[in-house]
Amino acid sequence: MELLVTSYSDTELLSSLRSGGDPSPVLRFLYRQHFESLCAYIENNNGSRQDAEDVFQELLVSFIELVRRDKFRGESSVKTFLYALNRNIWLNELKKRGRSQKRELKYEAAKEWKEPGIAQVISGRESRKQVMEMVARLGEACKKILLAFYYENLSMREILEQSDYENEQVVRNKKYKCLKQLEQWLSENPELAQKIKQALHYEQ
Amino acid sequence: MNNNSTNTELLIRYLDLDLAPNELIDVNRRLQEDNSLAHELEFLRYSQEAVAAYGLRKQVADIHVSMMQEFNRGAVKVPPRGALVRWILQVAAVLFFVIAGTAVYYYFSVSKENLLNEAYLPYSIGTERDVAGLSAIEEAYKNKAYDEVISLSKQAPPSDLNAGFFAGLSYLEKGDVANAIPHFEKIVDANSKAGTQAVYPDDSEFYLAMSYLKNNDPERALPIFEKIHHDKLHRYYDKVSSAFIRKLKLLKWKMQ
Repeated sequence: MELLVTSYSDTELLSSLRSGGDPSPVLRFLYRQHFESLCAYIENNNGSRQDAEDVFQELLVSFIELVRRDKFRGESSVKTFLYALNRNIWLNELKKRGRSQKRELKYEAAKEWKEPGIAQVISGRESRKQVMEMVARLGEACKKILLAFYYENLSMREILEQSDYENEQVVRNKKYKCLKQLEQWLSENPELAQKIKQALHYEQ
Repeated sequence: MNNNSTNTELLIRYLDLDLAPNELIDVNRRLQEDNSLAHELEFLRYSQEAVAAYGLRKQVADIHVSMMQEFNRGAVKVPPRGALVRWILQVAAVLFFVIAGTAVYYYFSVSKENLLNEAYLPYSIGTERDVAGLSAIEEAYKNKAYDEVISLSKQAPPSDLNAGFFAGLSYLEKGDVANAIPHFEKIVDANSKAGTQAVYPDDSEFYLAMSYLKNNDPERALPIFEKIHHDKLHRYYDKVSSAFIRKLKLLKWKMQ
């Protein structure tokens, strides 16, 4: 089906993301539409190709999460929003690396984040990274089972069919232990739990 | 199951919308009355959200790889014609000499030492660990008392992968790569079969690859560094650039 869809209007794109279905077709569309020009901005502003690719992936994730959490109000077009997000993430990255020019920082400070959602993306960058590191600490088997259930929305039966577990109850027990492990890490580190709330809910 | 785990199981089923109506009423009532239960539910919900967020990042990273392949294929398909062909051939000739010159330069300049200088960083114990308190072996490592770390690790049971990790790091810091490698290999192997919790998963991979490289074995280091390079969520992703991988491949070729 994906091959038949060549483009989306903003309304179609947002509605597809809000539906909670597989975002792959939209992601591919955004790559074809905006990847090169957004990369060019970063490469023309002291960034490498690798920097540009990293920022593009980060902005796609943030954009999808903002849309799904109803934090993108559509006051600007998707294109304008993505360009603003690209610029702001990159300026923030330069600032972190201590390589931004004074005039760029001045511009950033004067801008007061006119686009809703962008300030939340920028302020939560480091926290989101920490949250991802926490999940990455799980064993491979745990990551696989939790992603299958909570991201791919597979049923226990489907997970069983894709794995070597003996029966559904074994899968269920394993999933319980893995989620409990994450919960324990958060109980031991309430500061991180608070960060999750702010970073993944895009709150300030 | 004890009472705590029964509660957790109920809460997970609550979040998964898997409770019968009478169970749902009961859990809702208990959540109103029991703050610690409500707190646990909140943390379980955050855990689920963290997993979903991780999944989205992984999916975007996978699509990124396939889109880069698509763009690269597209670039090859453009058919050059007429004057454009001559211009492209001239540019290609210049590029050929520049690339060939660069390749020759890299071939002669690439070395194990250069690569180690570029990407190696000694493992440091994060400041947040100070609050929780360090074990004797961690404290010794933090104080760079590598012989003491090795001695303490020998007293620990063989199943203590945490002690093995710091022993591996200490051997590596002392330049004794041959003894560092088995420690990291054991942890990486255990992590690949791990259940709920892996032991220093990203760190053990990175330092195993570093140990192989230091041991003049780029062939075994390369697949691990490539794995890190393709995993945007890997802790050492920033240390392993495309240029680093290219140089490592060149070193592997040079050493064959």
